[in-house]
Amino acid sequence: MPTDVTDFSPYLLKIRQSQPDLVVSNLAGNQITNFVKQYSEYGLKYPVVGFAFDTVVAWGAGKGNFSGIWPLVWHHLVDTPSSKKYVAAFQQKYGKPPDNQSWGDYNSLKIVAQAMTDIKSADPQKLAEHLRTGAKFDVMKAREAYFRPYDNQMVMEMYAVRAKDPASMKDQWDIYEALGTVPGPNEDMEIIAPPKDGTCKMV
Amino acid sequence: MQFVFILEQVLNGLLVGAYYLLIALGLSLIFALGGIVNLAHGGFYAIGAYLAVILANRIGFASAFVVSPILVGCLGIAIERLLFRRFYRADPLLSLLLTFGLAMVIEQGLRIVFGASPLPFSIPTELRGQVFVGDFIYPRYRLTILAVAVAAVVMTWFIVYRTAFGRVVRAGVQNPEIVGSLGISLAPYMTAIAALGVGLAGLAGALLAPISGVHPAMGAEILTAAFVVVVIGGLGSFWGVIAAAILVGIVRGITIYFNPSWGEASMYLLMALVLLLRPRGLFGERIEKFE
Repeated sequence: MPTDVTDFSPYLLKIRQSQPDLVVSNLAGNQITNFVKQYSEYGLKYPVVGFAFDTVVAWGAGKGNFSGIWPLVWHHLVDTPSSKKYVAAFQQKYGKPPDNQSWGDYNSLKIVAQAMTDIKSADPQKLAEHLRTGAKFDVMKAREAYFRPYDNQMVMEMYAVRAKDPASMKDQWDIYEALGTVPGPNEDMEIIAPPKDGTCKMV
Repeated sequence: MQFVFILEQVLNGLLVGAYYLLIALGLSLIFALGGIVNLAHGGFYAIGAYLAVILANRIGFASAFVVSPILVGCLGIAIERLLFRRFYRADPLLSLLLTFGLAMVIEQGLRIVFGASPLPFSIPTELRGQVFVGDFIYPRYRLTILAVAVAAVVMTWFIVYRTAFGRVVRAGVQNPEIVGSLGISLAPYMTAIAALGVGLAGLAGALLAPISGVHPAMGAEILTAAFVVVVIGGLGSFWGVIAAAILVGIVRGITIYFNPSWGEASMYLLMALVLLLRPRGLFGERIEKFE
């Protein structure tokens, strides 16, 4: 699908005509909100999964519109002490749970701050070198995260969430349930990102 | 089977046409009768959607869908009195600048008041569900949108073409000096037209809020499509905008059937083609003051 679609109906008809086993979304941002709302409008029952996803766009869809299984870098139900503390503090200050973007902003600042403290310098070159040494950072997850030196990608745990049944939602934020960590607790964290040679070894 | 699938896209194109008609009708009206290219049209659309969300929680869905466009129309009166009025005779570039600025003020205003995240909003329970004709699927809510769009068109047509009020307005479009020399002041007529056009934007926002994300930039999302429809239909043409909305809906549907990635481009290609063959658009009229 092209970007910036506002009316999804012809695409939804095409999905329905092809009777798929699975609908995989690779939309981004507000398009996800538009898509899940109109997917629910057309009452299609094929399971939906997706790649890019933000909690805000699901919260913004409205009751009964959100469906499917989606990946997240973090969500407000992550069950670690530091994560729970962050959620409670955020909730108290802003009156709503934090979304994955706020987690990203907060933790990236913390990573930079921690790196500056560790090397006692704010020099960008030195900081970059330090981050490439594989230094570990607490990002409110069960395992610490680090940067892979050869492509600068952050390696960390991801999560999956599943849309809840609208009848069991307590409030407008309570729309998904946690499906656990990806990769699982006993798996190498790098299996979700292609290794240096670029081949996927997930299967 | 393929023919049936294409037919389904064509029939769905009519529903989509109602969608495009709703977002383009008010824009076309203000453009045709006031000569103002209203880049803030998307902003009024967004305000209509936000008002519908706020009001639906307090006075219920049905009332919210009625009250929200009326409030946006009232805002249109204020905007016409304070701003548009000064630009009817001015260089079109100035009104473009004005409405462009207005669009930004509205979008940022919504962001300051309501935040950048989309507000949750759903189709009311009684309008959820789908109607099946054979194997063809029609969401009940889209059929409601179609009915409201038809009603809006009939109402606008009646006001502009079948009342003494509309006669003065149409005369004013062609020749404001002669209307003035007959002792008729055009000012209240133009206020009413602006209220109607802006109110129609609000109506579109309120009606489409349950099937689109309600966020500050939602107006910018639909503005280009609304312009494409108005331009294809022909500047100043009432029937042109209707024909163009349906045509865009159908062409887009068929294109998406064959090649989804060309779906959004198809309406721009259609516009280019129409402009090459008919530079005034499908039903474009000759309006003296724009010549």
